Amino acid sequence: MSNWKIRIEPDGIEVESWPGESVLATLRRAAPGILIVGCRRGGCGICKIKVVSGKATLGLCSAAELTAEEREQGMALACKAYPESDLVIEPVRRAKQKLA
Amino acid sequence: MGIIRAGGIKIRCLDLQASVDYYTKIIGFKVVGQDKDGNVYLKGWDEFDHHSLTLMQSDKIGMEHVAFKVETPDDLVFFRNKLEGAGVKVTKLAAGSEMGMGEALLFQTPAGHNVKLYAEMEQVGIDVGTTNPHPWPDDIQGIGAPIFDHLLLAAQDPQKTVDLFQHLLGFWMAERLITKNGDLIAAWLFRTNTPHDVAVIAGPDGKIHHFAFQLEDWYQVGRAADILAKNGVPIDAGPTRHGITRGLTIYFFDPSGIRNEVYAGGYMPYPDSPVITWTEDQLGPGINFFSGSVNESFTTVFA
Repeated sequence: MSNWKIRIEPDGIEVESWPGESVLATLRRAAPGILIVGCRRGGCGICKIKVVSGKATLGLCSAAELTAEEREQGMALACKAYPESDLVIEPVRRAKQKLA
Repeated sequence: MGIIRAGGIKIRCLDLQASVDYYTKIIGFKVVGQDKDGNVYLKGWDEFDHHSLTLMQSDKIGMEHVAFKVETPDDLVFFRNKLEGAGVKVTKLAAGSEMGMGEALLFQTPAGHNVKLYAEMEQVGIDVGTTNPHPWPDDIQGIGAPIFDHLLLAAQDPQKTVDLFQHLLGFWMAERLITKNGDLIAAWLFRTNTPHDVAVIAGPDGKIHHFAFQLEDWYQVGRAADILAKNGVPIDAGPTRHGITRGLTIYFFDPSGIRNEVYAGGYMPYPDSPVITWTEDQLGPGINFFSGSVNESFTTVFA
């Protein structure tokens, strides 16, 4: 596994993913306060992102929060998204509190 | 007469086996059966009835229903008349809608939660027996939660759902949280002698904030925190004390992302106890008395 780069738009912040980390885990460690850290189980949908470019494997997510159509459009839940290349992402909902 | 407790909850799970493993090995409930539809029934070691937790496989997580036990079959007739008289649509379910359950009523809160009332359930007994019992059984797994305790429902208009519980189902209000203008944000309602058997908070209709297991004391809450951390269970808040209800608590997420709580302590409310009021500027200590602040996920994440 590689240390992929994740760029967060529109901030332009770039963070490095460590092997085995979900996108949410990387952001929580390296760019806290951008995404809300919710259930971390693919259930609540609070960490939804758009994968603008790059490839990520997506695990089990509740279809109530991430529909099949949204998956096709490149939406993902960051807690269940594992990079397989460098990524550019856009958060759907941003945290208000600084600390994740 | 009337509702005697929150008897059980049925939840939708993304990975049924992962949830069965979690609720048995970490929470410490035991599987008591599986029906032809694949639903898995579980109970805590200190619960007499057949089950209090039902797990079902689904691609959409959340609560399928909450079930309240009433004292006698006559109560079902009483509540059916009362609910229908207030314009609530009630469906009568034959015995066996769940394993071990007698006849039941099914209806919805104004926010769209499915609620069951039932009077009879097969009793399988508690793990320590009823004659000269030991205080706890020897084969506890993980946290070893003895019972299902309460749940918190979300509703865009919490007042309407609170009205149903108070005026049609006979709940008393222990505590409430209000805005500067006096509008209700949340209410903690009881039929037993704990500060809440069900609570309602402003949030997305039909969802739940959490459901909770009761623990004995602060030591058990600390021990539970160790077990959750050892098993990599995502913790949302705590261990801490609530200002609201005075409970000792941890919030964490099950394998589908449904928030669980372990809860101990609190005080003993009575039907004639005046309602305790919290103002919205004091939500921080109300939820987390030690830090005095609430993490953002606590108020934004529902299942």
